[in-house]
Amino acid sequence: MSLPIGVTPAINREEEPFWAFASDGLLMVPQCDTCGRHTFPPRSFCSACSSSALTWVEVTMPGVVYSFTTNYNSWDGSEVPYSLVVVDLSHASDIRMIGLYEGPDEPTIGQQVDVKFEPGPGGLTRPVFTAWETV
Amino acid sequence: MSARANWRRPVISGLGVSEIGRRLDQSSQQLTVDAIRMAVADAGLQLTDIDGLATYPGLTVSLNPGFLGPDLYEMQDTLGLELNWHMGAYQGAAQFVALIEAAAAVSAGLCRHAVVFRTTTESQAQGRARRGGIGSGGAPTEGNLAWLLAAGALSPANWAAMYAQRHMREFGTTKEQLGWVALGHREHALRNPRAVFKDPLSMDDYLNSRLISSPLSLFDCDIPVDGCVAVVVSAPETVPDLSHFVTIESVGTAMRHKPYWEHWPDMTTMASHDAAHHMWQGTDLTQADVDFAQLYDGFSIFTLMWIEALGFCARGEAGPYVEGGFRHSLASAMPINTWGGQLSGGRLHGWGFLAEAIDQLWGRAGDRQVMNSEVGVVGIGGGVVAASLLLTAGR
Repeated sequence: MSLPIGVTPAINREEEPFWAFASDGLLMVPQCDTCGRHTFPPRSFCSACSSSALTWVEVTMPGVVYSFTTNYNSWDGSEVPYSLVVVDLSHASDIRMIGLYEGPDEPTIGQQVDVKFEPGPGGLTRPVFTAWETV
Repeated sequence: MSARANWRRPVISGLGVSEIGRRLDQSSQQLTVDAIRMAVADAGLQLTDIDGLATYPGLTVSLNPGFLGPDLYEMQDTLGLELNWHMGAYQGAAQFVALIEAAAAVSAGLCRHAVVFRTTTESQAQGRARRGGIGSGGAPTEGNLAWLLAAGALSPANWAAMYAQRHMREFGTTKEQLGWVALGHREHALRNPRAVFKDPLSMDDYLNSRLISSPLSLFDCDIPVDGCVAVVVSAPETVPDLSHFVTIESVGTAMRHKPYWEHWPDMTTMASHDAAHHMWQGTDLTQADVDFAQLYDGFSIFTLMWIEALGFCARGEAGPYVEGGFRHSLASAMPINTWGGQLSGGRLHGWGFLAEAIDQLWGRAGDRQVMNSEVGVVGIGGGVVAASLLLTAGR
């Protein structure tokens, strides 16, 4: 199996829990205790209400694809094509995340997505988005 | 009276452009020496008159092999300058951060004549290899690109593509309309001796080129080159001694939204919209006064976004605006990217647009000269960084 596509990030203290939770298969972000806003990338401060009291909470899926692209050029020797999505997390104050997309078809804007976790660069576990299956 | 009363309208008094090309056999230091000596001579000055020096990006994280030019100290020492003011900076108003700070410095009296330069050797550094992704050096990445790169969005082509995709979805912008940007720029490049691409480009060529990151294909992406552009920025009180000058009427440096590509709230806009708004706040001139526009095109979609950001058409209408190529052409009331842009002229990280604007305002643009060229706008940057300049002809 080839190496995961991506570059290892430098991780600061605010971001460490995100990656630790991800390695347990949990998509977690900080939420403000005062005003309820979720914040991402992870911060120790709420830019909406200037509170420093934040608690890590799990993000409820589905999210909604805000935009996407399918990459055809192999920048680092990786197998192509692969798709990337920018996802609005509608149940978490509409914060966004970007990730690889795995599904039977190319993603579309407005499509609902679920999340799963796969190996990322540098031994990290990272979120990858998938088609939302309605039961 | 302008809204920005303390902006003393500094001027650009000299322009120097080194040899520009693919895989040049010249060091970044030599290219920089060439451009700076030309700029100083163009201003009618000597190196001993230069008391300010600035560059973008200076010594910082190298996004690509060849991205960094020679650093500030290397050039101060090489040229033996005695400086009252100096800076090398990466974070700020896009690739013009050092230029705009130099303008502020001469305006505030910290120095009189500042040389500002941008040098890139990305073409020779990449050699014959295909373009790599950002951060392919292997070190962990910090800052606002780190999350993108960790997710697997390795290239600015991926990031720009997601903005293009959203613009298409919301406004019906088409692939052909992106193509008219590439074709319009190529048409100008045919008249620019410095341009990298000198062969005509047809819509068929454009549509049949390979996909890079949907919807962007090969000719939607700019082309790395080697070269240096340098200018002399001078204090307003030096104008009586200058043989020619361009006045920096207003600048846009605003940053009003979350500065992460994937978190930018409305991806049918960019930081360009903040910068343009800020620039228009600082002047009594309006869109109707502008004779030409030099608008960043790291990717074709950026030029469409800049046209909208600067208010040359309504939001979402830049696609129809460029369709057919007339708006780009010298026959239009406001030609766009008359040097060929970075798509055809070469990626000088915004500084090719500046060089062209100065040449146009001084009537030195040869076969691509815009008639009655008195006011030009330059918009630089894509995604979450932007800067804009409103320039007027001196004498």
